Amino acid sequence: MKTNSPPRSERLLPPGIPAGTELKWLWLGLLAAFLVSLSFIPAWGSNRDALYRVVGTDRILMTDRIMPDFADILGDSLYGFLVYALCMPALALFHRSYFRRGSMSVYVMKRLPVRGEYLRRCAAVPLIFVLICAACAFLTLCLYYWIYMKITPQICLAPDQWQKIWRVL
Amino acid sequence: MLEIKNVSKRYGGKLALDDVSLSLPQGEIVGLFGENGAGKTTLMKCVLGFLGHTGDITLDGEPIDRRNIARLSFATSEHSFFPDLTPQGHREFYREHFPAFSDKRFTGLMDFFELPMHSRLRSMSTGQKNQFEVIMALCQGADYILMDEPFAGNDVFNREDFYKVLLGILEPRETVLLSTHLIEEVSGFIGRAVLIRQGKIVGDRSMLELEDMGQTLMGYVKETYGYRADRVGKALDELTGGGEAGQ
Repeated sequence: MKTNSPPRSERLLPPGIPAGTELKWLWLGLLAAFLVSLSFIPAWGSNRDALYRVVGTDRILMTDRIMPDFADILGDSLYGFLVYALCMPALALFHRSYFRRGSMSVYVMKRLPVRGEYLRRCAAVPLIFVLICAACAFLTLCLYYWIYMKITPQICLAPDQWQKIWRVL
Repeated sequence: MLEIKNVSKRYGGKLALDDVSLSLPQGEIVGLFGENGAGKTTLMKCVLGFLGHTGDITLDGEPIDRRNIARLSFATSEHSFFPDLTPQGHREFYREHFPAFSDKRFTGLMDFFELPMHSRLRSMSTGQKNQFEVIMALCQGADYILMDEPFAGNDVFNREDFYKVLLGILEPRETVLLSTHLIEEVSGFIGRAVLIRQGKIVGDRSMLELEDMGQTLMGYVKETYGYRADRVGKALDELTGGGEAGQ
């Protein structure tokens, strides 16, 4: 007997929810969170520019100036990821409510011989995207830290930047 | 054998099931009758494990859990299909989760009721939704098929067709527990009638017993419920002033 198994992503969502559409919005949400985080770049740029004195067409580094801490410049840049992650429990609740909208398909889910299928269909995708979001936030943090440490003149950097990063977390 | 022993269920202060005991051997078609709120739906939901309760419910001596839950299926007037999935999608889902799913019966019933295989359930009429709900319960491959008012909203011809098809396709191992208000309609189709009132089983007779007693199913229900035939006449008299006119 020929069986057309649904794609793997659809097996993680309530039956009938178009996986492609939901995943598209989830990825767009992550992109939006990343775009919000880009506010770090102008903040870092203006602080870096403040280390220089412009004389005519020359930019002279003022070695007595100290760049503000990375954590201070980072500020709220990563909040987009936080908001995104906080939306994921709401998505899980939306999936749960899906089984009670238009019919009580929750009855079928509760009658399935496979343990955890109902929970998996409600929570798997939100959980996966929380993890992806956390990974993206961490990679973005690393990227911005790298930019901060590599492009800011070394002499103007305050010590123990990585230790101070815990303030952000 | 599905056995329900001393099952009670309370919603807050209200006793919905009061020490209910009932045995359903395999191969029976049992009608479950009672007024709205009598406890028919609650009883079915307790059997399926949707509601917590006191007392024991066993299937061939074993408690009902993940290991044997697939031996029970459920069709409800609330509907339990996935509204955004097509019948074909349901077929694949059931095939994956219920190993005894009968593809042959599914195709046959879908053809018989002329239901579209690739339209989403949401877009179908209430009658079609009811038909599909019952089709899935019948095709799951369950030994015990619980039906809670499955024909609410279907026309009489449609229901008639269903009874005939059901009688024709049921295998000896399959038991149907059918909750309905359509007492006269199912009287020729069920083998046993169970009456529930205010959470208690108040009657349990096989149709053969009723026949031997020279009683119809409707008569048995009315007698058990203490139905007062003169109640309507009296009420109409009072409402229309017929009583005064007669004085």
